[in-house]
Amino acid sequence: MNSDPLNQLWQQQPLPTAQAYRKISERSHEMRRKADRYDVLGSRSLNWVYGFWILMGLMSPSWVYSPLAVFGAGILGWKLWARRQRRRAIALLGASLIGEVDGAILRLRQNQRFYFWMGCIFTPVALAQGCWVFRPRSVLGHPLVLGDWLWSGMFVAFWFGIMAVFLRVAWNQWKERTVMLRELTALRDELAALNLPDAER
Amino acid sequence: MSSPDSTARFDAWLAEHRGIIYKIARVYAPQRIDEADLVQEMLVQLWRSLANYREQCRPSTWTYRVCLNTALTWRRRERRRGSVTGLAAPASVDLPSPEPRPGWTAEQAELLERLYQTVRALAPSERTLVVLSLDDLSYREISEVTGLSENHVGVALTRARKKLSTMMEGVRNEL
Repeated sequence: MNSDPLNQLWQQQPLPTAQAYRKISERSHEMRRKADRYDVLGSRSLNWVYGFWILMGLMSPSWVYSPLAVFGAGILGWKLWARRQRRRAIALLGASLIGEVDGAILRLRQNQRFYFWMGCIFTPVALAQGCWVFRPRSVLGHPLVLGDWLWSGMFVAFWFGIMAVFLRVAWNQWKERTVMLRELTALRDELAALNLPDAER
Repeated sequence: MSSPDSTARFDAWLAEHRGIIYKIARVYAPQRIDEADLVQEMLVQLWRSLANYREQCRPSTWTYRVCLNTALTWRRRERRRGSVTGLAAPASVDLPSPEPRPGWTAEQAELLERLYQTVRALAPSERTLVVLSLDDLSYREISEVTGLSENHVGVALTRARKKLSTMMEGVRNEL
């Protein structure tokens, strides 16, 4: 050991226990895993919906569904880009745990709003389609036959399905965000519980 | 890395080198409340990196390198970013305090606190060198950790230690 008294003082200083650090470490990993799990930029199951739109837009002979394909491709592209940006940022800068959890919560809030408003947009679309398809016989000019019911019912179910999926995702993300906020607070409380009184710096 | 072997290895590593984590967190975190975040970050980086340690240098030198790089990256990023959740941590949130050490006097504790304050007051480049030299790392080891040449380390460290000694002289006179 160096004879310098400052070196001696530095090297002999009291340290926290390894167990205390171990506890922080375990909690950190658990939180990071959760942050990764929640930070999905929208549910993966929705990729099927966007994929279906693209397929529908490409296969349909009617131009009406072409915007759907563009829209679906746009959302899928945005999701891939955002995920790539996030990975790159983590690789370049490193990432603090609290920062990651903060970021995941923020993205959940943004995604949740996005899906909620998408759900709100599709609600009148679904209702309008329903009203039009099942319009009264006097307007239609002929009675509804079985084919009308099946074909039109399929479209109505499609729009209502999309609406339901968006609203369901928004609801799930709201719940996840609430859990994340609670766990972040719990993590900070746990750190506080490990603490012994110490002089404020 | 999640097998019982690697967990046991990490635990042993933590027990042996926790001092490095503690000291660097205290030197580089601007406030005690930030230490928790920095310590977590260093622990995560150590956990991730431990599998890649190939005994190319002493374990303590390697731990210093990982922790210092993490701390410097963390500081750079923290300056740029603010918390987005607005969750203000309670004032009591802190790291675990050190275990009481037999024979450790209040005067030594006060002097150590002032030493930390003095080290934090140094320029960032000097701070790194001083922290490493206080733990008796050789010029070669400091050069491995920082990536500077040994000659540069020698010159810069002599200057930084002189500055530290002068500042601590003033502190001793005050106490």
